[in-house]
Amino acid sequence: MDFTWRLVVQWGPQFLEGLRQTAYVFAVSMVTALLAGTFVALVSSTRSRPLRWACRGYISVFRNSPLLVQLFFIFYGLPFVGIRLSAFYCGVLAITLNEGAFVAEILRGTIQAVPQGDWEAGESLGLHRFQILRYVVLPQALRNAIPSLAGQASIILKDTSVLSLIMITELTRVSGLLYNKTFDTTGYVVVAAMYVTLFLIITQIAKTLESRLRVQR
Amino acid sequence: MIHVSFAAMIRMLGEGALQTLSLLPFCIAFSLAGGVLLGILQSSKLPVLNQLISLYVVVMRGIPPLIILFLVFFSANLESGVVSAIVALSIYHTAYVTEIVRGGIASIPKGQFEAGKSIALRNSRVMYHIIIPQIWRQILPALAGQYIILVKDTALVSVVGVREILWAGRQIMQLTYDPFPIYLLIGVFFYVICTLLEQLSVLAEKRVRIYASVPRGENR
Repeated sequence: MDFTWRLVVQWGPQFLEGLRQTAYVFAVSMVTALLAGTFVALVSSTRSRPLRWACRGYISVFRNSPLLVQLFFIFYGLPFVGIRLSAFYCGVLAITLNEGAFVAEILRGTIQAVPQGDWEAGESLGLHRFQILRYVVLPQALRNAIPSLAGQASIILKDTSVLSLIMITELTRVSGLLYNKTFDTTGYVVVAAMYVTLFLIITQIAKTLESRLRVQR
Repeated sequence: MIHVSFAAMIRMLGEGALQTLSLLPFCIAFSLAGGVLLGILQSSKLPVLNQLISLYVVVMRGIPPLIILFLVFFSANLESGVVSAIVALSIYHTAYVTEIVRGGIASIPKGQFEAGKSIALRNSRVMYHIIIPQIWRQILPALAGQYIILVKDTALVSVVGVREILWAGRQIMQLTYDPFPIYLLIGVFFYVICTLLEQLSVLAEKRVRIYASVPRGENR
């Protein structure tokens, strides 16, 4: 493993650009994955059986196949049926669909963990089923899901590295370009350090969020 | 554009699947051995070693597997994509297995350690004969989940030239120029492997549960 400080300085701007792109992709797909996951979790806690089956099917398919395959399917496959998206949107769409399934599974668990009494309390107040979900169950479920969601966030961060394979110039691709030019693995080491730093920041944010939102019982 | 029959596609992807499946036992064995060893060391509260293992785990949890794969492939002079893939995936997943094993050991009541000590067993003997046999029931679901992630991570190793499912799919694509059905089929292949593994873990869990619920005459 070689490490050359000169290259770190020389490629500084490219690394920063890659960091910006990684952070951007991460932020966008984190939000969309959360939204998609919450939506699927809500739908799968309705009473309609076909809807529940559809959700189970979606979760099962996207959890049990690799992100890379889904990404290539969207990036290379969809244009052949007339859907053209830019590489960026393909990446975000793939991560959203893939991680949405994981988020949905996490939230489904925490929604089920909310005591039955809370549902009954909501009903006795005359709330509609959807209102109970929205105002009583979901806030608790989301709060209890924070540790698992933080773990999922760090996985989404790592998922963004796969987007280098569809030519999005984020951190992993910058280090690949550096290697192709110089045959020097400095780029991978630098980028690894950047990923670990981002990971630590995410973990810290999750910890803060968790302690802020903790309810005294 | 060359027409490739469906049967030929399945055959080529099947060859890729064999390559994928032949990576798995090595990765599973290495990461399990490494993870159990590091997990035991981690729970025995040794001062410096403990911090080193924690550092390793945090670093591996932070770095994408793709970066580890490139680092191993380009810097370790292994010359073989298959070997680098096995090494990289094992290094990556060992960290997660370490965490799982540490959690499993932490879930065993402290009295078990004390009981072992009181019949004059060494620490290593307590671990080997008393603690480790008990953790499997606890950690099997998490372990199975981790190995399903491992299966999905093997899709990445085509970038270092391992001829697995995705690589085979891309070969077919260069003949037919029709990615839509091929990526769908690749997805099906992975789905089948992952689902089989999931079912296997459910089966194993049942076995372990039955085994644990039938005491063999001794006081439990």
